[in-house]
Amino acid sequence: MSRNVPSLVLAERVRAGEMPAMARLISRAEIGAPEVRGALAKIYQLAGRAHVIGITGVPGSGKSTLVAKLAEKLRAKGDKVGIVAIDPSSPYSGGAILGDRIRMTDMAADPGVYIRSMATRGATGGMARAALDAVDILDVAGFDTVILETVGVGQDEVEIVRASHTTIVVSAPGLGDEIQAIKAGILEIADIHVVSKCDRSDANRTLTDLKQMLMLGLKHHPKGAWISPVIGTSSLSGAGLDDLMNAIDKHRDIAFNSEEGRARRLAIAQFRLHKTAENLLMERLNRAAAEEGAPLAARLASRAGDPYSLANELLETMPVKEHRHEQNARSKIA
Amino acid sequence: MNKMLDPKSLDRLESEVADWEKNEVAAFLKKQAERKDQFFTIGDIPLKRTYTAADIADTPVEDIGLPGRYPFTRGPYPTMYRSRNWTMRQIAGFGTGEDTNRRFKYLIAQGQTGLSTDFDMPTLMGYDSDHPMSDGEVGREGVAVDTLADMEALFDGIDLENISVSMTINPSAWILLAMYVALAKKRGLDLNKLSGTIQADILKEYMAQKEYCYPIGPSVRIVRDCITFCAENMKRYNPINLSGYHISEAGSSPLHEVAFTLANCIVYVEEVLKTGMDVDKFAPRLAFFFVSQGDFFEEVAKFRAVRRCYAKIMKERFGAKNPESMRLRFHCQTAAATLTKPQYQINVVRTAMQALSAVLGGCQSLHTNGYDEAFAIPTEDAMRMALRTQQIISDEINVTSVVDPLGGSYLVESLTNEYEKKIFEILGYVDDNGGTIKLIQEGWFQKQIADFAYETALRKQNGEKPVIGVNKFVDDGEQPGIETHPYDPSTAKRQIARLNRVRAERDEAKVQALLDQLVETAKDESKNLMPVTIELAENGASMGDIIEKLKGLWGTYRETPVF
Repeated sequence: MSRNVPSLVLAERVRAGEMPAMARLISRAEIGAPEVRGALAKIYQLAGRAHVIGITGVPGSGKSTLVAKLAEKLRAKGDKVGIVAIDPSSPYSGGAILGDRIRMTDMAADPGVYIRSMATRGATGGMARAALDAVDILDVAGFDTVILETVGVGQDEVEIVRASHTTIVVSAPGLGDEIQAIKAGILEIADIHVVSKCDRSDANRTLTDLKQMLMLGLKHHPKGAWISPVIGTSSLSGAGLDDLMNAIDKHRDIAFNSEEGRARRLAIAQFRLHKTAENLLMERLNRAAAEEGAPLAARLASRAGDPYSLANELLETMPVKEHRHEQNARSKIA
Repeated sequence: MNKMLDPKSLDRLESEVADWEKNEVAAFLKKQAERKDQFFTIGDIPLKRTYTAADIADTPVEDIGLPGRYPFTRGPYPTMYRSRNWTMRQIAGFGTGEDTNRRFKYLIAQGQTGLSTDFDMPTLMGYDSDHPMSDGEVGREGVAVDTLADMEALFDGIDLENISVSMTINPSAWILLAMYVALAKKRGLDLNKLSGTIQADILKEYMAQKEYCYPIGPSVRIVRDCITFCAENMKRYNPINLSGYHISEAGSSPLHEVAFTLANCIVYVEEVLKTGMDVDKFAPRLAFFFVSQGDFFEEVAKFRAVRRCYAKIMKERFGAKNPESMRLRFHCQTAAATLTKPQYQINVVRTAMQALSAVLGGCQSLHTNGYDEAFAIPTEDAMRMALRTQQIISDEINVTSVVDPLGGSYLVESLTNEYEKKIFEILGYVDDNGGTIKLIQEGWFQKQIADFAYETALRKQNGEKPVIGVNKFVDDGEQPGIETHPYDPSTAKRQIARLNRVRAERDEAKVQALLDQLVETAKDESKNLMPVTIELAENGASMGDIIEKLKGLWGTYRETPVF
């Protein structure tokens, strides 16, 4: 495959289920060059069939192991499973921490499983957009279930996982830092709670405290609405995994066949709209800053102006429409 | 062993039941289906359509037995309420000793036959009324007791040799017992004539109610000291009230309530036996406290089963010889957690039903909740109504003329058997997994309780468990106003003034010397803490003085929340 294959052509090959095309299109989506946008527009039109499961939890909660077990179960019932894992990237290496993925090598040879790590690279601005683009690409490539895995720290990671049909929040015993989790608002987003490592005796406390906390909210729960179950699992013994699969099936039904699900999809669309607009805006702002920012910064440094007025001046230099260069690039593809 | 039914009769009965299912039942079901696919007790035990002698055919006749005879399934005494009604023991406590004393006297005037004392949070947790942690809580949800002077005010003019007094207190129970003894001695009473109970069941605190001061080890030793002291010095006094009530109110199933309580009982008995005391010397004074929940027949069966299990444990596991050591006596309280704020008047009806199952289950004393207890501690009016409920059961509806009137009911006997089986399964699990204390530390009991509580909350939420007025037959209209018990804002000031007076008047050097002696006694596990604590109470030491001093030696217990 030549390096210069247009993205639209890649999109066609993705539709035919070609793995290498899929990988390349995801890479391009990740970089976010304007050339890929037309292809992603097409992908978006075709997507919407796969069940997207978001999984999050603090580091060390056993998410990745759970994802691997879940993928096995989904494969066993014949689903093709795509996994998009958002790794917190090291600022030193600039790459994703791929150690987690090694646990999934059992499935590496299975063509029904595709695993893709995406690095957050410190700047998480475009991450949500790229990750959701990747989910769409897998969807169009014929994956029945796409698992979106993020570390439940940082607003962005939480938001990404929330943009799935079914959100699973993993808690684990013995971490001591779950207090952080509630601060980040991660428990509230769960459609399904999993307490992992239930072979350990201190999992009792985690399950007890979680249930007692959730109970407080039950009174105000709208009648008939989905109630997030709490499922204890053990990747060692396999306990609880069937319960988890059942809960996922039930929630998939809600996600695709209910008013609650429709409302959820609308919220996801709003989120994507907002994130994509934010992304475009940031690009324009960065360009404006590169072109016009230096003299403004110099004035600010010498206290010849104040931050608010100068920032407003910078914003005024921003083009109202998308950059001409991009528009050219897009019209060429079209 | 005699069985309830011989094989031939059993065969005949079983074929008749099968025939009935095939004909009458099947024909009826064709016309009208049943309301649900499966029926369960509140405690999740599956229920059959009806019960027959076949369901209890294998029960040894001796297991059902007779009232007042081993294994006491049918009651601890042979004549039960034909001789003496249960003790009507409404709990009371608020404000200072004087405030609660007035309520006690009111209740006695209304026909109450025993006293039961509720303490405020600072007293329950072992803080003096002037401790920063006590701010805003003094006398709010119970009576405040800091020193012997408060105890004197609390029982002023009440004849302690002729009325039994129960005190609901746990980590600081031995101090209250010491104050009670000091008061009795001051009045020149015979300790062996005092009857009553301190709760002092610390293990269920770690499991459910979470009122504790010290780590588990020293806490259990305190309980042991109470039991052995009473066995030697207070022949009619119950040094412990093994309580399932709080386990249930924390959300457990009725089965776990009784099974976990027996698991705790086993720990205490083992601790006392280690001191070399004979089981028959102290076991007759072990007392129990259970809830009467909402499932009428299940509750009756629960009470009968726990009596049978306890008898077998004491005889077979601990080798008791005296039948009184095997005879479980219990106080009962209706289930506060079933009471509702909406349509609060109907709480009277709930409480009446629960009280009836306690009586049919053979309780020795009973507290019926006030209709206003979902709002606050009860008013006098609510307490009078609750007491009258008991009086109607004892005097008007003639359920007290026959001992164990539900004995022999196919359903109740069958549930009793089921409960016994399941209780011993749980106790077996606890034994096999390192014992009660280890499983408390691992949070196993706590998780079982939380699981059932969560299930129940889900069932209420989705309407599977009806709660009238809350998720069924809801009244949309304005609810009539309710007058709740007022909190007197001068309580803390009055209470702290007395505490300061006691501190100013006492011999400080003597108190300090006794506190040092207390620490020395505590260091030697073979010694009993009671005598020096009684001396401390007599010399004006406060509860806070004693608790804080021992925290220096033993430290505290903390359960940091996971979330």
